[in-house]
Amino acid sequence: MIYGFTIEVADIDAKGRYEDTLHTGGCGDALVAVLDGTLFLDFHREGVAFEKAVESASRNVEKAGGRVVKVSPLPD
Amino acid sequence: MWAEHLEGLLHLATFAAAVSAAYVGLDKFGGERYRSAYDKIAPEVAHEETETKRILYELDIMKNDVAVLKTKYGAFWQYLLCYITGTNYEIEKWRSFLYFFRRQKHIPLLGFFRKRLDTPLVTAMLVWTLVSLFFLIGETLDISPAVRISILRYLFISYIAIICSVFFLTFAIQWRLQKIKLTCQGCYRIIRNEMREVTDLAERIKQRTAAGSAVDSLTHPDQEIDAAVTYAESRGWRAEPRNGHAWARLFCPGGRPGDCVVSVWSTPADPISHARAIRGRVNACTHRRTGR
Repeated sequence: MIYGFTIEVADIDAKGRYEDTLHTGGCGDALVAVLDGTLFLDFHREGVAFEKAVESASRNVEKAGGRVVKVSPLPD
Repeated sequence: MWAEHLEGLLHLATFAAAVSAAYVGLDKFGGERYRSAYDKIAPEVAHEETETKRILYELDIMKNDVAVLKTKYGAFWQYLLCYITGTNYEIEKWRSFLYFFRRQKHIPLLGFFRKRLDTPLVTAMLVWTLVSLFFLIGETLDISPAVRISILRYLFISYIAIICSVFFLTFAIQWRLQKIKLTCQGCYRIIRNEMREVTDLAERIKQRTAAGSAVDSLTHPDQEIDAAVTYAESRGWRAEPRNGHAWARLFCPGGRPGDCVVSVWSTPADPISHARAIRGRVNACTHRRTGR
């Protein structure tokens, strides 16, 4: 099943080439948006459960050098 | 004495009736009717002519007031436009050979119409009447009455045939003209739509190159995503091309430093869901355009 959720990310500079940083971390499937200087990643991830999907996404974010601040589900 | 000439007189009376009917008919159908029908559509035709001429110039195929019909797309329509507007055109030999057959469909009738063939027709009928009268009154001619009457009969039939053909030709011309007008409007519409697309593309090129990007990155290779970007642009968003994994960044119409920035990947794994996500972000944005 595919779960949609938004992750608020800190510790990545939202002014430089943040897309490339996130892409190398494996977040290439997320929509990257910047709001008030904060990075938001809209994920649509497949997983056995919502938590598992979030977990795998968080791992990718941390691999890119970011820190997960908040996770909120996306409205369908 | 009158009885001898009764048949001849009857023929004369019939001819007189036929001649007057023919003149009235010519005036009514040959002259008045198709002229007034033309006058009715004349302003429209003139309007379409000027419009199509403008389109011909916009198409950028005019060189020294001569249209060069070389482009593969719609060369026939361009040719037709040139013909309708009376613009001179140059055409490749092969194409002119191909169009030779198609051209036959509409040119002769239009030529007939443009020349207004009333006068030749009336002249022909006058000559015909004189010949008939010559045969009718020509007592001096050494031919038997029976032969004379059969000649007159054939002449009468041909007279009727001429009237009928004038009548039907008039309608044929009107119908053909209407067709040509519709075709003209149709190809004008096609070309106008093409022009609109080109103008739109030019506008987008202008917008996207404003950020100093390469021209080949103007449209996203994926159709769905390009449509989503176009949707965003229609909502007032601005696309700024990027190099690398991100194809572009979209800026929301707010325009202030803290407002939405959405990145578009160049090669996402799932283009459809990516496009949907872009649309979602565009719809969720509440920033208004600033005064600047």
